[in-house]
Amino acid sequence: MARPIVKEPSATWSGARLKRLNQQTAALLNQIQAVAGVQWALVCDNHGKLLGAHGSAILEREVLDSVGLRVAQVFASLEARGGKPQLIEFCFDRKSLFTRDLGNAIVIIMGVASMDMALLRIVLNIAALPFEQDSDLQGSLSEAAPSRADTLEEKSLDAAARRLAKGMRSQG
Amino acid sequence: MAEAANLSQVVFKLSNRELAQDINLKPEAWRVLARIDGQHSVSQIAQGIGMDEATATRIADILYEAGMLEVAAGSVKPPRPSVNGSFFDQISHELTWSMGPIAEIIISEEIKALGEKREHFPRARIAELVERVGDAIADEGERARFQRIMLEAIRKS
Repeated sequence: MARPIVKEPSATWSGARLKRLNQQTAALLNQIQAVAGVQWALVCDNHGKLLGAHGSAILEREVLDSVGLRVAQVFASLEARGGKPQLIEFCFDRKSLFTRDLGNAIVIIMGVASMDMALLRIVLNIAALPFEQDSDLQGSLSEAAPSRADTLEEKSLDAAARRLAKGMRSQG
Repeated sequence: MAEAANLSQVVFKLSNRELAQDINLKPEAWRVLARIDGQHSVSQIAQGIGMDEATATRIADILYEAGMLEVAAGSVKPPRPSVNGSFFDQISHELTWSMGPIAEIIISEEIKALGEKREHFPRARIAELVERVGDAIADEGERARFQRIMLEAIRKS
């Protein structure tokens, strides 16, 4: 099992605020890891920036930040169209990627395709409650990264996403 | 495909799926695993290696549950472990607490919607059932209470 990744002190996250974030994130990730088939799980803010991660593989922060950004962009795209997705599942040949809204954060879980998804959703519904209902934490998260829509700005898109966005704009 | 009365009648092959978790194998398990070829049943393998059938069947069950084995084409299906009556007593009790006597109707309807029967409800689908009946609870706090209690029941089953 790789060492858990926690949020390090920064201008935005320090002191009691940081401690609260790391405690809530660790509690959430520990419960998720107990589900058979989960390989890693991470929590990111509305901008996709890593807040914490835990898993069986060693993954670099930059990779996890990239995953967080892409998922935040998916949520933002759906929200821009008037949707309010709570959870999104991506199914691949041998893997499942499960993502869930946590108010002002997103949890992302990667596991084997045969994971019991119903069990994972139940565990997550219970584990996410303290995180979602912590108004101080949610306030701090909102202050640090107010909107997922920011992830759809030109500077956050790669070349392929910019072409796609241009194509969609031309279609209206 | 018919369901086997006993796992010993099943013919397995090695699975190429990714395992959900790490698994440690004892030497006797390796002896069985080495003979899995998609052609011989567990009973035949036991006979071939001089192992008693009950032991070989128990080992095959562990390997199958772990995802290391798949049922070979043409084989009888393995019997599915089912939940016992006390689980349904608990789910009825907790759902009735949350939403009253309509709970029993909800449970019966969801079992039917899953294409299963209460008497032989597969253990592998109990989380699915708990999730579906829980969705019928309108109050979020009450739904969370129900799911928390049933999660413990699932872990013990």
